[in-house]
Amino acid sequence: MKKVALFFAYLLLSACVDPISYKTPASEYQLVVDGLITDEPGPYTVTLSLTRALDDYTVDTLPVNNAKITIKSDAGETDNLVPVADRPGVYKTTTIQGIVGRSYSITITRSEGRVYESSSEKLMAPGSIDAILYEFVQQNPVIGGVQTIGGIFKIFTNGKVGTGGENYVRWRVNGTYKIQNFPENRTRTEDDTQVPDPEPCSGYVVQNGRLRYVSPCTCCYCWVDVYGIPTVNDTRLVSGGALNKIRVGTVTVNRRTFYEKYYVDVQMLSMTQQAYNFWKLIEAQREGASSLFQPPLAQVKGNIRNKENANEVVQGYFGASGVARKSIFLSPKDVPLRLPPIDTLTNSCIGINSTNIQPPFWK
Amino acid sequence: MKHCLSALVLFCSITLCAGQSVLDRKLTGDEKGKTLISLFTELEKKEQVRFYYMPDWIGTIVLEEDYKGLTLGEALRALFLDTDLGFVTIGEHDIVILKDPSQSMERNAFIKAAIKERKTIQKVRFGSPEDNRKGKRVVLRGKVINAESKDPLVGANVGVSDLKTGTVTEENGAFELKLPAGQHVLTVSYVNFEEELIDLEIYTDGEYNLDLQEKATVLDEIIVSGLADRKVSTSNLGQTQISMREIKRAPSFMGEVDLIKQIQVLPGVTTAGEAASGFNVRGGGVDQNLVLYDGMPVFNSAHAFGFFSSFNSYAIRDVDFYRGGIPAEYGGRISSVLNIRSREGDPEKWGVNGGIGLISSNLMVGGPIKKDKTTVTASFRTTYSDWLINTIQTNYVDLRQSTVLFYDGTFKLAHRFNAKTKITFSGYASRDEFRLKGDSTYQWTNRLGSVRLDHQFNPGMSFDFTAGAGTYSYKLTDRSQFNGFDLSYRITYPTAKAGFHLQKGNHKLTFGAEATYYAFDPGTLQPTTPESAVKPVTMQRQNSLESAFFFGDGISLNERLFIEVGARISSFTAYGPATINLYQPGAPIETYNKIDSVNVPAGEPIKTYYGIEPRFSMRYSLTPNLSIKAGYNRTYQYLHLITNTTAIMPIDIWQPSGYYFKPQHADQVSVGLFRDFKEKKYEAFVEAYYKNIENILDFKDGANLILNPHLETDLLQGKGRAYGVEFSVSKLMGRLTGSLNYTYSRSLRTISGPTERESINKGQEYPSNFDQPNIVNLGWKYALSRRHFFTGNFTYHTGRPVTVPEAAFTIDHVPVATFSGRNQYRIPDYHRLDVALVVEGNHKRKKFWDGTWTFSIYNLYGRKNPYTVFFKSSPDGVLKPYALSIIGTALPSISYSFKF
Repeated sequence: MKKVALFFAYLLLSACVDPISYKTPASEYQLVVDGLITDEPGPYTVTLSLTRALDDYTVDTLPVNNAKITIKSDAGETDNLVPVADRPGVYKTTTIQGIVGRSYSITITRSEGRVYESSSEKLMAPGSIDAILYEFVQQNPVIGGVQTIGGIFKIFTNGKVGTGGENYVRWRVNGTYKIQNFPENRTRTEDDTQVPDPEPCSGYVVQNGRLRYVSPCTCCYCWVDVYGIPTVNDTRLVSGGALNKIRVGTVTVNRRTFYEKYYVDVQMLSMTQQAYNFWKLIEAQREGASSLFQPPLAQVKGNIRNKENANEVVQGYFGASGVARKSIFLSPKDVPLRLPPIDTLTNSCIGINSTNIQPPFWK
Repeated sequence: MKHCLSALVLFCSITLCAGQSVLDRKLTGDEKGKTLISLFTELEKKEQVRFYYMPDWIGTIVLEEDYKGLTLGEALRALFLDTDLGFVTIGEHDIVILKDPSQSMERNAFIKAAIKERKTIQKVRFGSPEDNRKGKRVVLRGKVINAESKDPLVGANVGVSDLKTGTVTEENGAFELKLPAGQHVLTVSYVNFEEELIDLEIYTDGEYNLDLQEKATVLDEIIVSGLADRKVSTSNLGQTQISMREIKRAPSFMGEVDLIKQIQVLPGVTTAGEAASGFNVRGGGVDQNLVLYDGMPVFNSAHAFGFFSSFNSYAIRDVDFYRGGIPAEYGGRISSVLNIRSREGDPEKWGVNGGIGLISSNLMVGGPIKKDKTTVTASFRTTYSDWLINTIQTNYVDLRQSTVLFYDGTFKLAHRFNAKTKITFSGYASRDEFRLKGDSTYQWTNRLGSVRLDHQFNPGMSFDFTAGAGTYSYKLTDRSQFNGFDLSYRITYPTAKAGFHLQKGNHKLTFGAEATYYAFDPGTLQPTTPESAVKPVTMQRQNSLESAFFFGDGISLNERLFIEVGARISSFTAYGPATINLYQPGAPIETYNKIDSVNVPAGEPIKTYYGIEPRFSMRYSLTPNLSIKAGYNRTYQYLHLITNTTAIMPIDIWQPSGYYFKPQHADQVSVGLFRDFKEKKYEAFVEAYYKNIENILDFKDGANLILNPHLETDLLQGKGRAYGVEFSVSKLMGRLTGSLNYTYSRSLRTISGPTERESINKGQEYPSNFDQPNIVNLGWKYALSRRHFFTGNFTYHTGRPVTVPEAAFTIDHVPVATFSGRNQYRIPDYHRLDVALVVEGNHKRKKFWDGTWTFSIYNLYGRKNPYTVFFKSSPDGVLKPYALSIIGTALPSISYSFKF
């Protein structure tokens, strides 16, 4: 439908899209729960935060600390979570191990005494991913008036859904790529002229107006994590439980993402119908965006509620999933284009989702 | 009244001067205590004089005072003072007592004016005063016929100018008037036809047929409304006849003359925006309008996703639109009826009509196969907008190789066996195809075919029978190698309807029956390539039968009060084969609560619903220029449009009522006040309504509607209510004509189920998608000269409700927006001004070629009216609202239409 929208937009030559703002009531910050238990080895994490206003130009979450969190299973297991050092609002399990067929639920007690609980979530058997397939599509978008060279890889998988479950799956397609920045080349303006002003982490300092190497650069090479849009499948429509070339995600190809190579990690998460309904609404939000015939979007209702006050709105989901995963590296050789060399960004490469620590899978 | 009386005095005194009469006879005084009737009888015995009167009118009048010394004339004037009685003399010896003394004034004025305007006046006389001494009322029956085509003119106005009453012709052109015996002036008019004046002297019942000549200035032969004269003197509340001629003179969107767009500016009607060809009537959904084409229902009235309507306006003869006071013969939709009748060929000569616009061109050919017996006509319209798309500069490669195609065609064959029997075959087809290269193709098709028999048994009784079949289908095709599929959907509906129209005394009876069989094929999904991962799905066919009996009676109780009563008894049965899912009793209807399913064998009824639909409307004329109308109607709708978008989409699903879905029904009460001013130069009305709807459908959050074998788990039924007031003022005559209307209305829903997931907004009342409280429409036409017109319209309405994001959070690295309750915010208000210059060809009656140019500018001041608010990821990944305006600038266009 997105293309239909574009088509008519262009048909009429004059269609236009303008941002619009709504005065929404300064709503009370709502609790957000983000937790998942899987059949992979623990520990598992649960993150507590608060909703943020739409006008806040930040993705920083407001962490909720000092809460008591317990995960219980229908087999009688109980695990009290502990806070993770240096990660505010993040709690991890200590002993519990997710097992296919068992059901799990969470109880949260906030420091001021409010108690929340989730519905019970059954851990469904995972499926399997046999292959990751990819197709390149050239796209040369104009960014800031400059035509860029690049495109996308459409990512598909072949596989099988798990047995005995409700056959609802969510795909997590995450990526990692390496970039190089040139923080030693940073300058600042002084009396209308550019003078060197290297980032301290670059290992260079200015001496007598010239750059001098003093120590190794710690912010020149980084690994950037990319989190894909969740895709869900109601695989009841797939014959024999076999998944043939299911589109699960997209990898952006440009001179930065394919500076060295690109790591694609595909995870197939089995889940309950309730979790499917939740993620489907999120997918609809992400995918339906910009469609002229966008179905009216709605509240995304999670599975957490205040035990005493049913009227309190709580966001988020505590889920249980069987996980199947597969990963591949895509290299510039897979791109049927000559990508230009990486641009020379002069800031530190470290940032949100970007770290100078080489991940263990990067070889 | 005072004014009229004094005019009468003047008139009478002139008559008196002309000759001595009994009116000059002085009274003696011994009349005191007698009744007026006995006085008249005495005088008739003594003198050579005759009094004409209705005994009812004067039977109670007693000469209580002593009138000694006064003349009879003076005495009568005194007696009739402050009553609506008066008298006139005819010749020297006849005195007529009139109920409304202005009658003869009016009559004389009309005849004088007509002579001045050199109009032809036909003198028609039935009987003589001797035949009707008792002042009994007489009945005039007749037919109004198009002089050229011999077609009956439906809805022609037959006005009794001196009495300011009148009637309109029926389906077969027939009319019936009950008149006081005496002299009258009849004005027979029909828009775009020459008005006929009849100087009528009637003392016995009579029959008179008359032919109206088409006006020489008519370019488009399409016939029109008697709107001007009808508002005050017809009973139908909320009824509008649409003039195709006026539509053609109105500014148009990209030069396309569009019927539905014109409906959208009527009081009480709104639309979701440019790309929504459907329309919302008094807070109802787009599916709640019954659109009939030559008697057959049409399911999708849109081309190109709603930018244009699928009816070629050149092929339309006339259109009736009811938004209240729906007659009993129509049913099956709860909000409105749009009844479109197509044109027939000219019985005398062949003709060609056509139009050339930016988007499409159309051609229509019609004429006699056998003169005055058999006519045929066919029209075709198609788009050639591909060049437009392909010349668009865009970075989207796909777009340049896309195609958009639509066409529609009509065919009509009419054969007249004799003056009383006629058979008509009508066919209609429309098709849309929209393709993106390497991607999906959308196609949708309407096909209708019907045959209609009209027979007139006698002047007071006629019969019509229509039988036909229609299909509506769509197909979505994807040709990609691994996911290629065909999704198809189809509704097939054979239908039959029979109606009798009976006119007897002051009753106009209509009764009949109709039945429609529906076969819904709600979807088949087929893989199109061997590699396709798509699993074939065939949804079970749904069979159902809708039938109804109806009767209606229009009764003129007296000159002032007219009532129309009727009822429709409808039934709907869903038949097997079907698989009914059963859910745990008491638990929410959700897939995970499904416990079993049962199979209903073929032909076995699954569920039957009945509806009794009373219809009532009345008109009471407070004065000749002011009437009050009121109505109540109940309507049932057995088919539901399942959609989660605000406009009709080709991939929407129609779901019949059945095991889980109950029929919707609405009760509407409305009351209105209608008045005209200054000899019908101006007209104004105010109408208020309240509507209650039961079993309205809405979808659950995140519902999946396509190929869903358990739709009952994704839909909810609840209550709706709508209310509003409509105000309208029109100027109907002069160089400048136009109308201004304002509507205040609300449309609200409540869906409250036992659990939160079965409720919307926690069961609280919320505005429906079409809740647009304030609506203003202004339209005008200014005649710069006889051939040049400057026309325009302005429209304003409150933005419709939307659901918007209020805050954001992140889960599993995915930013998510939290949304408000459903429809708690609104998109910005809509307003737009369009203007057009129409240049018509010369107005000679005989000419070979006749052409009209229309230059129009749509959205003159370039308002960016949001069509919808949608949500796009902002740089930080959270959805933020954006307004999409489909038309962001002024849009000029030019079109040419011709006839020869």
